[in-house]
Amino acid sequence: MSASGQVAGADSIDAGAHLQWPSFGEVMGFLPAEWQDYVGRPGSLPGGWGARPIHLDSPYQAPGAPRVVTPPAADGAPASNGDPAAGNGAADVRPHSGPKMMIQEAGIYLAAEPNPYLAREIARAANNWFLDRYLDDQEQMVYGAATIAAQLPDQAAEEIGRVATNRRIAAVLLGSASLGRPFGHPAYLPILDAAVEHGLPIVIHADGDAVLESIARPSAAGRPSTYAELRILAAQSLMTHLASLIVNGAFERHRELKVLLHGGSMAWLAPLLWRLDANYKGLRREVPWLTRLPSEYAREHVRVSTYPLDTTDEIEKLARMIKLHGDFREILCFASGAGRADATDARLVARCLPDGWTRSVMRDNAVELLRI
Amino acid sequence: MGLVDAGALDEFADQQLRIVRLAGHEVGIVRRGEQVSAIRNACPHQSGPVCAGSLRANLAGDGVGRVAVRAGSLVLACPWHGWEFEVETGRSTSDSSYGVRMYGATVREGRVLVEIGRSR
Repeated sequence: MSASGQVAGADSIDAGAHLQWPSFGEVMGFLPAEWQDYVGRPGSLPGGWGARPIHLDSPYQAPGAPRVVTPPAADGAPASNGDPAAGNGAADVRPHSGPKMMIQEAGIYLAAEPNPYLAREIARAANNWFLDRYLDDQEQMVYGAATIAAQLPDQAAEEIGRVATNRRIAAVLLGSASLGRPFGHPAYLPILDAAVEHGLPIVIHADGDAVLESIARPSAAGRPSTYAELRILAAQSLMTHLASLIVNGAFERHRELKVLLHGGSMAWLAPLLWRLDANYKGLRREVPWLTRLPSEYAREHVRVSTYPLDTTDEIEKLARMIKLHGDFREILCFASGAGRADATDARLVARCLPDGWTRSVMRDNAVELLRI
Repeated sequence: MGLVDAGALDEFADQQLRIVRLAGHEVGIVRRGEQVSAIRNACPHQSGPVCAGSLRANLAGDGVGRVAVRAGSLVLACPWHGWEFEVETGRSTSDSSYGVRMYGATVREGRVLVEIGRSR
Protein backbone atom coordinates (compact mmCIF):
# COMPACT_ATOMS: atom_id res chain seq x y z
CA MET A 1 0.00 0.00 0.00
CA SER A 2 1.02 3.56 -0.51
CA ALA A 3 3.45 4.51 2.19
CA SER A 4 2.04 7.97 2.52
CA GLY A 5 -1.64 7.18 2.37
CA GLN A 6 -2.11 10.88 2.43
CA VAL A 7 -3.52 12.90 -0.34
CA ALA A 8 -3.17 16.60 -0.55
CA GLY A 9 -6.68 17.37 -1.72
CA ALA A 10 -5.75 20.41 -3.71
CA ASP A 11 -3.16 18.40 -5.61
CA SER A 12 -5.41 15.58 -6.69
CA ILE A 13 -7.97 15.68 -9.46
CA ASP A 14 -11.37 14.08 -9.20
CA ALA A 15 -12.05 12.70 -12.67
CA GLY A 16 -15.71 12.06 -12.02
CA ALA A 17 -18.18 13.50 -9.54
CA HIS A 18 -21.93 13.59 -10.10
CA LEU A 19 -24.04 16.67 -10.45
CA GLN A 20 -27.77 16.79 -9.87
CA TRP A 21 -29.97 19.55 -11.15
CA PRO A 22 -31.22 21.53 -8.14
CA SER A 23 -34.56 21.83 -9.87
CA PHE A 24 -36.07 21.17 -13.26
CA GLY A 25 -37.21 24.74 -13.50
CA GLU A 26 -33.70 26.04 -13.24
CA VAL A 27 -32.51 24.01 -16.23
CA MET A 28 -35.74 24.48 -18.16
CA GLY A 29 -35.01 28.17 -18.07
CA PHE A 30 -32.16 27.50 -20.45
CA LEU A 31 -34.42 25.95 -23.08
CA PRO A 32 -35.45 28.24 -25.92
CA ALA A 33 -38.86 29.76 -25.29
CA GLU A 34 -40.58 27.60 -27.88
CA TRP A 35 -39.19 24.47 -26.27
CA GLN A 36 -40.30 25.61 -22.86
CA ASP A 37 -43.77 25.83 -24.32
CA TYR A 38 -43.24 22.41 -25.87
CA VAL A 39 -42.33 20.94 -22.49
CA GLY A 40 -45.09 22.81 -20.70
CA ARG A 41 -45.13 25.21 -17.83
CA PRO A 42 -44.64 23.76 -14.33
CA GLY A 43 -47.67 24.35 -12.16
CA SER A 44 -49.96 25.13 -15.04
CA LEU A 45 -52.03 22.14 -14.06
CA PRO A 46 -53.49 21.22 -10.67
CA GLY A 47 -51.13 19.55 -8.24
CA GLY A 48 -48.14 21.31 -9.60
CA TRP A 49 -48.03 19.38 -12.85
CA GLY A 50 -48.03 20.79 -16.33
CA ALA A 51 -44.52 20.15 -17.51
CA ARG A 52 -43.25 17.07 -19.27
CA PRO A 53 -40.34 15.53 -17.37
CA ILE A 54 -37.02 16.41 -18.91
CA HIS A 55 -34.88 14.26 -16.67
CA LEU A 56 -35.00 10.50 -17.03
CA ASP A 57 -34.16 8.72 -13.85
CA SER A 58 -33.06 5.24 -12.92
CA PRO A 59 -35.64 3.05 -11.21
CA TYR A 60 -32.83 1.55 -9.16
CA GLN A 61 -32.35 3.39 -5.91
CA ALA A 62 -30.03 2.83 -2.98
CA PRO A 63 -32.21 1.79 -0.04
CA GLY A 64 -32.90 4.52 2.47
CA ALA A 65 -31.95 7.38 0.21
CA PRO A 66 -34.20 7.48 -2.82
CA ARG A 67 -34.10 10.23 -5.39
CA VAL A 68 -37.74 11.14 -5.56
CA VAL A 69 -38.67 12.86 -8.77
CA THR A 70 -41.50 15.19 -7.92
CA PRO A 71 -43.24 17.61 -10.19
CA PRO A 72 -41.49 20.92 -10.15
CA ALA A 73 -43.22 23.73 -8.42
CA ALA A 74 -44.45 26.63 -10.48
CA ASP A 75 -41.67 28.83 -9.15
CA GLY A 76 -39.03 26.27 -9.97
CA ALA A 77 -38.45 25.30 -6.36
CA PRO A 78 -36.16 22.32 -5.86
CA ALA A 79 -37.71 19.06 -6.98
CA SER A 80 -35.70 16.84 -4.73
CA ASN A 81 -32.36 18.07 -3.54
CA GLY A 82 -31.27 21.64 -3.12
CA ASP A 83 -27.60 20.76 -3.36
CA PRO A 84 -26.47 19.71 -6.82
CA ALA A 85 -23.76 17.61 -5.31
CA ALA A 86 -26.21 15.66 -3.14
CA GLY A 87 -27.68 12.75 -4.90
CA ASN A 88 -28.71 9.22 -4.32
CA GLY A 89 -27.81 8.93 -0.69
CA ALA A 90 -24.42 10.50 -1.04
CA ALA A 91 -21.97 8.65 1.12
CA ASP A 92 -19.98 10.36 3.82
CA VAL A 93 -17.32 11.44 1.41
CA ARG A 94 -15.13 14.37 2.15
CA PRO A 95 -15.72 17.11 -0.41
CA HIS A 96 -12.90 17.18 -2.87
CA SER A 97 -10.89 20.36 -2.60
CA GLY A 98 -8.99 20.00 -5.84
CA PRO A 99 -10.15 20.28 -9.44
CA LYS A 100 -13.04 18.05 -10.33
CA MET A 101 -14.89 17.02 -13.45
CA MET A 102 -18.63 16.99 -12.98
CA ILE A 103 -20.93 14.56 -14.76
CA GLN A 104 -24.56 15.60 -14.93
CA GLU A 105 -26.82 12.78 -13.79
CA ALA A 106 -29.36 13.81 -16.38
CA GLY A 107 -26.70 13.56 -19.06
CA ILE A 108 -25.95 9.93 -18.25
CA TYR A 109 -29.48 8.90 -19.24
CA LEU A 110 -30.39 11.55 -21.80
CA ALA A 111 -29.64 9.36 -24.81
CA ALA A 112 -32.47 7.07 -23.70
CA GLU A 113 -35.02 9.88 -24.06
CA PRO A 114 -37.41 8.56 -26.71
CA ASN A 115 -37.95 12.03 -28.16
CA PRO A 116 -34.64 12.75 -29.88
CA TYR A 117 -35.55 16.33 -30.77
CA LEU A 118 -36.32 17.20 -27.17
CA ALA A 119 -33.19 15.35 -26.06
CA ARG A 120 -31.12 17.54 -28.33
CA GLU A 121 -32.58 20.67 -26.75
CA ILE A 122 -32.18 19.32 -23.22
CA ALA A 123 -28.51 18.62 -23.90
CA ARG A 124 -27.98 22.15 -25.05
CA ALA A 125 -29.85 23.56 -22.09
CA ALA A 126 -27.97 21.34 -19.65
CA ASN A 127 -24.61 22.44 -21.00
CA ASN A 128 -25.65 26.10 -20.94
CA TRP A 129 -26.93 25.72 -17.39
CA PHE A 130 -23.66 24.18 -16.26
CA LEU A 131 -21.49 26.79 -17.91
CA ASP A 132 -23.65 29.57 -16.52
CA ARG A 133 -23.67 28.08 -13.03
CA TYR A 134 -19.91 27.93 -12.81
CA LEU A 135 -19.24 31.10 -14.73
CA ASP A 136 -17.85 32.74 -11.62
CA ASP A 137 -15.60 29.88 -10.63
CA GLN A 138 -12.44 31.90 -10.74
CA GLU A 139 -10.38 29.21 -9.08
CA GLN A 140 -10.93 26.89 -12.03
CA MET A 141 -11.88 24.00 -9.84
CA VAL A 142 -14.98 22.78 -11.64
CA TYR A 143 -15.02 21.26 -15.09
CA GLY A 144 -17.74 19.41 -16.92
CA ALA A 145 -18.32 16.53 -19.27
CA ALA A 146 -20.45 17.81 -22.13
CA THR A 147 -23.95 16.37 -22.21
CA ILE A 148 -25.04 15.24 -25.66
CA ALA A 149 -28.06 13.58 -27.24
CA ALA A 150 -26.20 10.58 -28.63
CA GLN A 151 -29.33 9.24 -30.31
CA LEU A 152 -28.69 11.88 -32.98
CA PRO A 153 -24.97 11.46 -33.60
CA ASP A 154 -24.65 14.21 -36.20
CA GLN A 155 -26.42 16.75 -34.04
CA ALA A 156 -24.55 15.58 -30.99
CA ALA A 157 -21.37 16.32 -32.90
CA GLU A 158 -22.63 19.84 -33.51
CA GLU A 159 -23.23 20.30 -29.80
CA ILE A 160 -19.72 19.09 -29.04
CA GLY A 161 -18.36 21.66 -31.45
CA ARG A 162 -20.49 24.37 -29.84
CA VAL A 163 -19.39 23.80 -26.25
CA ALA A 164 -15.84 22.67 -26.92
CA THR A 165 -14.73 26.27 -27.24
CA ASN A 166 -15.36 26.73 -23.52
CA ARG A 167 -12.32 25.58 -21.59
CA ARG A 168 -14.53 24.47 -18.72
CA ILE A 169 -15.62 21.52 -20.83
CA ALA A 170 -13.12 18.74 -20.17
CA ALA A 171 -14.69 15.75 -21.89
CA VAL A 172 -17.74 14.40 -23.73
CA LEU A 173 -20.18 12.21 -21.84
CA LEU A 174 -21.70 9.00 -23.18
CA GLY A 175 -24.09 6.99 -21.04
CA SER A 176 -27.08 5.20 -22.52
CA ALA A 177 -26.35 3.11 -25.60
CA SER A 178 -28.99 5.06 -27.39
CA LEU A 179 -28.95 3.21 -30.67
CA GLY A 180 -29.04 -0.23 -29.11
CA ARG A 181 -25.43 -0.75 -30.14
CA PRO A 182 -22.21 -0.33 -28.17
CA PHE A 183 -20.15 2.75 -28.79
CA GLY A 184 -17.70 1.23 -31.24
CA HIS A 185 -20.48 0.85 -33.77
CA PRO A 186 -19.88 3.11 -36.79
CA ALA A 187 -23.21 4.87 -36.20
CA TYR A 188 -21.52 6.79 -33.38
CA LEU A 189 -18.58 7.90 -35.53
CA PRO A 190 -19.73 11.53 -35.80
CA ILE A 191 -19.46 11.78 -32.02
CA LEU A 192 -16.00 10.24 -31.88
CA ASP A 193 -14.86 12.35 -34.81
CA ALA A 194 -16.08 15.54 -33.15
CA ALA A 195 -14.49 14.70 -29.82
CA VAL A 196 -11.15 14.09 -31.47
CA GLU A 197 -11.44 17.19 -33.62
CA HIS A 198 -11.88 19.30 -30.51
CA GLY A 199 -9.31 17.52 -28.39
CA LEU A 200 -11.80 16.09 -25.92
CA PRO A 201 -11.77 12.61 -24.43
CA ILE A 202 -14.93 10.52 -24.22
CA VAL A 203 -16.19 9.57 -20.78
CA ILE A 204 -18.37 6.47 -20.81
CA HIS A 205 -20.50 6.19 -17.68
CA ALA A 206 -21.70 2.77 -16.62
CA ASP A 207 -25.38 2.23 -15.83
CA GLY A 208 -26.56 4.65 -18.50
CA ASP A 209 -28.97 1.96 -19.60
CA ALA A 210 -30.52 1.56 -16.16
CA VAL A 211 -33.45 3.77 -17.14
CA LEU A 212 -36.49 1.93 -18.41
CA GLU A 213 -36.57 3.96 -21.60
CA SER A 214 -33.22 2.63 -22.77
CA ILE A 215 -33.13 0.37 -25.80
CA ALA A 216 -30.12 -1.42 -24.35
CA ARG A 217 -30.14 -3.32 -21.08
CA PRO A 218 -27.91 -2.37 -18.16
CA SER A 219 -26.65 -5.91 -17.82
CA ALA A 220 -26.39 -9.09 -19.84
CA ALA A 221 -29.12 -11.75 -19.58
CA GLY A 222 -31.78 -9.16 -18.91
CA ARG A 223 -32.71 -6.38 -16.58
CA PRO A 224 -31.74 -6.91 -12.94
CA SER A 225 -34.39 -6.71 -10.25
CA THR A 226 -32.55 -4.66 -7.64
CA TYR A 227 -30.08 -1.87 -7.14
CA ALA A 228 -27.84 -4.37 -5.35
CA GLU A 229 -27.53 -6.31 -8.59
CA LEU A 230 -27.20 -3.29 -10.84
CA ARG A 231 -24.40 -1.75 -8.86
CA ILE A 232 -22.13 -4.75 -9.26
CA LEU A 233 -23.17 -5.50 -12.82
CA ALA A 234 -22.65 -1.99 -14.14
CA ALA A 235 -19.14 -2.88 -15.28
CA GLN A 236 -20.63 -5.14 -17.96
CA SER A 237 -21.60 -2.17 -20.07
CA LEU A 238 -18.07 -0.83 -19.88
CA MET A 239 -16.68 -4.19 -21.00
CA THR A 240 -19.04 -4.15 -23.93
CA HIS A 241 -18.16 -0.63 -24.97
CA LEU A 242 -14.42 -1.22 -24.56
CA ALA A 243 -14.39 -4.37 -26.67
CA SER A 244 -16.57 -2.63 -29.25
CA LEU A 245 -14.34 0.42 -29.52
CA ILE A 246 -11.19 -1.65 -29.86
CA VAL A 247 -12.44 -4.30 -32.25
CA ASN A 248 -14.36 -1.90 -34.47
CA GLY A 249 -11.19 0.08 -34.98
CA ALA A 250 -12.06 3.32 -33.20
CA PHE A 251 -8.45 3.69 -32.05
CA GLU A 252 -7.12 2.67 -35.42
CA ARG A 253 -9.23 5.36 -37.03
CA HIS A 254 -8.33 7.97 -34.42
CA ARG A 255 -4.85 7.73 -32.97
CA GLU A 256 -5.70 10.70 -30.71
CA LEU A 257 -8.91 9.32 -29.24
CA LYS A 258 -8.93 8.87 -25.48
CA VAL A 259 -11.65 7.18 -23.49
CA LEU A 260 -12.33 7.12 -19.75
CA LEU A 261 -14.43 4.26 -18.45
CA HIS A 262 -16.28 5.44 -15.39
CA GLY A 263 -18.50 3.73 -12.88
CA GLY A 264 -17.44 0.09 -13.13
CA SER A 265 -14.11 0.20 -11.29
CA MET A 266 -11.17 -1.76 -12.70
CA ALA A 267 -10.82 -5.34 -11.42
CA TRP A 268 -12.32 -6.74 -14.63
CA LEU A 269 -9.96 -4.96 -17.01
CA ALA A 270 -6.84 -7.13 -17.10
CA PRO A 271 -8.52 -10.52 -17.70
CA LEU A 272 -10.68 -9.00 -20.41
CA LEU A 273 -7.64 -7.68 -22.24
CA TRP A 274 -5.83 -11.00 -21.83
CA ARG A 275 -8.75 -12.77 -23.48
CA LEU A 276 -9.08 -10.18 -26.21
CA ASP A 277 -5.41 -10.60 -27.09
CA ALA A 278 -5.55 -14.40 -27.07
CA ASN A 279 -8.72 -14.48 -29.13
CA TYR A 280 -7.51 -11.88 -31.59
CA LYS A 281 -4.68 -14.11 -32.76
CA GLY A 282 -7.19 -16.62 -34.04
CA LEU A 283 -9.88 -14.14 -35.05
CA ARG A 284 -7.82 -11.57 -36.85
CA ARG A 285 -9.39 -12.55 -40.14
CA GLU A 286 -12.66 -11.02 -38.98
CA VAL A 287 -11.05 -7.71 -38.05
CA PRO A 288 -8.09 -7.26 -40.40
CA TRP A 289 -8.13 -3.48 -39.93
CA LEU A 290 -6.53 -3.91 -36.50
CA THR A 291 -2.77 -3.56 -36.67
CA ARG A 292 -1.99 -4.07 -33.01
CA LEU A 293 -3.02 -6.29 -30.15
CA PRO A 294 -6.19 -5.14 -28.38
CA SER A 295 -4.30 -4.58 -25.14
CA GLU A 296 -1.92 -2.24 -26.91
CA TYR A 297 -4.81 -0.08 -28.00
CA ALA A 298 -6.19 -0.11 -24.47
CA ARG A 299 -2.89 0.83 -22.93
CA GLU A 300 -2.55 3.84 -25.16
CA HIS A 301 -6.12 5.05 -25.49
CA VAL A 302 -8.15 3.89 -22.51
CA ARG A 303 -8.23 5.02 -18.92
CA VAL A 304 -10.36 3.64 -16.11
CA SER A 305 -11.61 5.54 -13.11
CA THR A 306 -11.32 4.12 -9.63
CA TYR A 307 -15.02 4.71 -9.00
CA PRO A 308 -16.53 2.72 -7.43
CA LEU A 309 -13.57 1.20 -5.65
CA ASP A 310 -13.40 -2.61 -5.63
CA THR A 311 -13.11 -2.68 -1.88
CA THR A 312 -12.78 -5.72 0.34
CA ASP A 313 -12.53 -6.08 4.09
CA GLU A 314 -8.85 -6.74 3.52
CA ILE A 315 -7.67 -3.68 1.70
CA GLU A 316 -4.28 -5.29 1.17
CA LYS A 317 -5.84 -7.67 -1.34
CA LEU A 318 -6.93 -4.80 -3.50
CA ALA A 319 -3.52 -3.21 -3.25
CA ARG A 320 -1.85 -6.47 -4.32
CA MET A 321 -4.24 -6.88 -7.22
CA ILE A 322 -3.59 -3.37 -8.44
CA LYS A 323 0.15 -3.80 -8.21
CA LEU A 324 -0.06 -7.08 -10.12
CA HIS A 325 -1.09 -5.14 -13.19
CA GLY A 326 1.76 -2.75 -13.70
CA ASP A 327 -0.05 -0.99 -16.52
CA PHE A 328 -2.62 0.28 -14.04
CA ARG A 329 -0.22 2.93 -12.92
CA GLU A 330 -0.83 4.82 -16.16
CA ILE A 331 -4.39 3.64 -16.68
CA LEU A 332 -6.13 4.43 -13.41
CA CYS A 333 -7.61 7.85 -12.73
CA PHE A 334 -8.96 8.73 -9.33
CA ALA A 335 -12.65 9.53 -9.34
CA SER A 336 -14.78 9.91 -6.24
CA GLY A 337 -18.19 9.34 -7.78
CA ALA A 338 -19.36 11.96 -5.29
CA GLY A 339 -23.09 12.41 -5.31
CA ARG A 340 -23.80 8.69 -5.37
CA ALA A 341 -24.21 6.15 -2.60
CA ASP A 342 -21.08 4.26 -3.63
CA ALA A 343 -18.81 7.28 -3.79
CA THR A 344 -15.27 6.74 -2.54
CA ASP A 345 -13.14 9.08 -0.53
CA ALA A 346 -9.78 10.03 -2.00
CA ARG A 347 -8.00 8.93 1.16
CA LEU A 348 -9.21 5.34 0.76
CA VAL A 349 -8.21 5.21 -2.87
CA ALA A 350 -4.74 6.49 -2.08
CA ARG A 351 -4.30 3.82 0.61
CA CYS A 352 -4.80 1.12 -1.99
CA LEU A 353 -2.10 2.34 -4.31
CA PRO A 354 1.41 0.87 -4.43
CA ASP A 355 4.25 3.08 -3.39
CA GLY A 356 5.13 5.59 -6.03
CA TRP A 357 1.74 5.44 -7.76
CA THR A 358 -0.06 8.16 -5.85
CA ARG A 359 0.78 11.13 -8.01
CA SER A 360 0.06 9.27 -11.25
CA VAL A 361 -3.32 7.93 -10.24
CA MET A 362 -4.51 10.83 -8.13
CA ARG A 363 -3.48 13.55 -10.55
CA ASP A 364 -1.11 13.12 -13.48
CA ASN A 365 -3.17 10.61 -15.46
CA ALA A 366 -6.20 12.91 -15.29
CA VAL A 367 -4.13 15.89 -16.36
CA GLU A 368 -2.98 13.99 -19.41
CA LEU A 369 -6.44 12.65 -20.20
CA LEU A 370 -8.84 15.48 -19.51
CA ARG A 371 -8.76 18.95 -20.83
CA ILE A 372 -8.05 20.33 -17.40
CA MET B 1 19.79 -34.73 -43.93
CA GLY B 2 19.56 -32.80 -47.17
CA LEU B 3 17.12 -32.69 -49.99
CA VAL B 4 14.31 -35.22 -49.99
CA ASP B 5 12.22 -35.92 -53.07
CA ALA B 6 8.56 -35.26 -52.25
CA GLY B 7 7.22 -36.25 -55.64
CA ALA B 8 6.53 -34.85 -59.10
CA LEU B 9 5.25 -31.31 -59.25
CA ASP B 10 2.32 -32.55 -61.31
CA GLU B 11 1.22 -34.65 -58.33
CA PHE B 12 0.47 -31.49 -56.35
CA ALA B 13 -2.63 -29.54 -57.38
CA ASP B 14 -2.16 -25.82 -57.84
CA GLN B 15 -3.30 -23.58 -54.94
CA GLN B 16 -3.79 -26.58 -52.69
CA LEU B 17 -1.99 -28.24 -49.82
CA ARG B 18 -1.12 -31.92 -49.50
CA ILE B 19 0.46 -33.52 -46.48
CA VAL B 20 3.34 -35.89 -47.18
CA ARG B 21 5.59 -37.82 -44.89
CA LEU B 22 9.26 -37.20 -45.54
CA ALA B 23 11.98 -38.84 -43.49
CA GLY B 24 9.66 -39.23 -40.54
CA HIS B 25 8.33 -35.64 -40.71
CA GLU B 26 4.81 -34.59 -41.62
CA VAL B 27 5.13 -31.79 -44.15
CA GLY B 28 2.44 -29.80 -45.89
CA ILE B 29 3.34 -28.99 -49.50
CA VAL B 30 1.59 -25.96 -51.00
CA ARG B 31 1.90 -25.46 -54.73
CA ARG B 32 1.53 -21.96 -56.14
CA GLY B 33 2.11 -22.23 -59.84
CA GLU B 34 5.69 -23.32 -60.37
CA GLN B 35 6.65 -22.56 -56.77
CA VAL B 36 6.18 -24.64 -53.66
CA SER B 37 6.23 -24.09 -49.91
CA ALA B 38 6.89 -26.78 -47.34
CA ILE B 39 5.34 -26.32 -43.91
CA ARG B 40 5.94 -28.33 -40.78
CA ASN B 41 2.67 -29.80 -39.59
CA ALA B 42 2.73 -28.25 -36.10
CA CYS B 43 1.10 -24.96 -35.10
CA PRO B 44 3.30 -22.76 -32.91
CA HIS B 45 0.26 -21.89 -30.79
CA GLN B 46 -0.58 -25.25 -29.24
CA SER B 47 1.05 -27.73 -31.64
CA GLY B 48 -2.15 -28.40 -33.56
CA PRO B 49 -2.07 -30.07 -37.01
CA VAL B 50 -1.86 -26.78 -38.89
CA CYS B 51 -1.52 -28.47 -42.28
CA ALA B 52 -4.93 -30.05 -41.79
CA GLY B 53 -6.35 -26.56 -41.91
CA SER B 54 -7.58 -24.58 -44.88
CA LEU B 55 -5.85 -22.41 -47.44
CA ARG B 56 -7.43 -19.00 -47.77
CA ALA B 57 -6.88 -15.67 -49.42
CA ASN B 58 -4.66 -13.39 -47.34
CA LEU B 59 -6.98 -10.63 -46.14
CA ALA B 60 -5.72 -7.25 -45.08
CA GLY B 61 -7.51 -4.22 -43.70
CA ASP B 62 -8.06 -1.47 -46.23
CA GLY B 63 -9.13 1.09 -43.67
CA VAL B 64 -11.43 0.49 -40.75
CA GLY B 65 -14.37 -1.62 -41.83
CA ARG B 66 -12.89 -2.46 -45.21
CA VAL B 67 -10.96 -5.50 -46.41
CA ALA B 68 -8.70 -6.23 -49.33
CA VAL B 69 -7.05 -9.35 -50.64
CA ARG B 70 -3.29 -9.38 -50.84
CA ALA B 71 -2.76 -10.48 -54.42
CA GLY B 72 -0.68 -13.59 -54.90
CA SER B 73 -0.62 -14.48 -51.22
CA LEU B 74 -2.23 -17.35 -49.40
CA VAL B 75 -2.62 -18.11 -45.72
CA LEU B 76 -2.96 -21.43 -43.96
CA ALA B 77 -5.47 -21.41 -41.11
CA CYS B 78 -4.92 -23.86 -38.29
CA PRO B 79 -8.06 -25.96 -37.72
CA TRP B 80 -7.79 -25.74 -33.93
CA HIS B 81 -7.92 -22.01 -33.18
CA GLY B 82 -7.84 -20.28 -36.54
CA TRP B 83 -4.34 -18.85 -36.37
CA GLU B 84 -3.32 -17.88 -39.89
CA PHE B 85 0.17 -18.11 -41.39
CA GLU B 86 1.40 -16.74 -44.68
CA VAL B 87 2.29 -19.65 -46.87
CA GLU B 88 5.16 -17.77 -48.45
CA THR B 89 6.94 -16.82 -45.22
CA GLY B 90 5.35 -18.84 -42.43
CA ARG B 91 4.67 -15.67 -40.44
CA SER B 92 1.52 -15.30 -38.37
CA THR B 93 -0.80 -12.62 -39.70
CA SER B 94 -1.83 -11.53 -36.18
CA ASP B 95 1.52 -11.56 -34.41
CA SER B 96 4.69 -11.41 -36.45
CA SER B 97 6.72 -12.81 -33.55
CA TYR B 98 5.06 -16.15 -34.21
CA GLY B 99 5.57 -18.29 -37.23
CA VAL B 100 5.06 -21.80 -38.46
CA ARG B 101 8.22 -23.77 -39.21
CA MET B 102 9.08 -23.87 -42.90
CA TYR B 103 11.38 -26.19 -44.78
CA GLY B 104 13.37 -25.09 -47.76
CA ALA B 105 11.60 -26.31 -50.89
CA THR B 106 12.42 -26.05 -54.55
CA VAL B 107 11.37 -27.53 -57.88
CA ARG B 108 14.09 -29.12 -59.96
CA GLU B 109 13.51 -30.94 -63.21
CA GLY B 110 9.84 -31.34 -62.40
CA ARG B 111 10.44 -32.77 -58.93
CA VAL B 112 9.58 -31.17 -55.58
CA LEU B 113 12.61 -31.26 -53.31
CA VAL B 114 12.37 -30.48 -49.61
CA GLU B 115 15.32 -29.75 -47.35
CA ILE B 116 14.60 -31.94 -44.34
CA GLY B 117 16.73 -31.62 -41.23
CA ARG B 118 16.99 -27.85 -41.25
CA SER B 119 13.70 -26.02 -40.71
CA ARG B 120 13.49 -22.25 -40.40
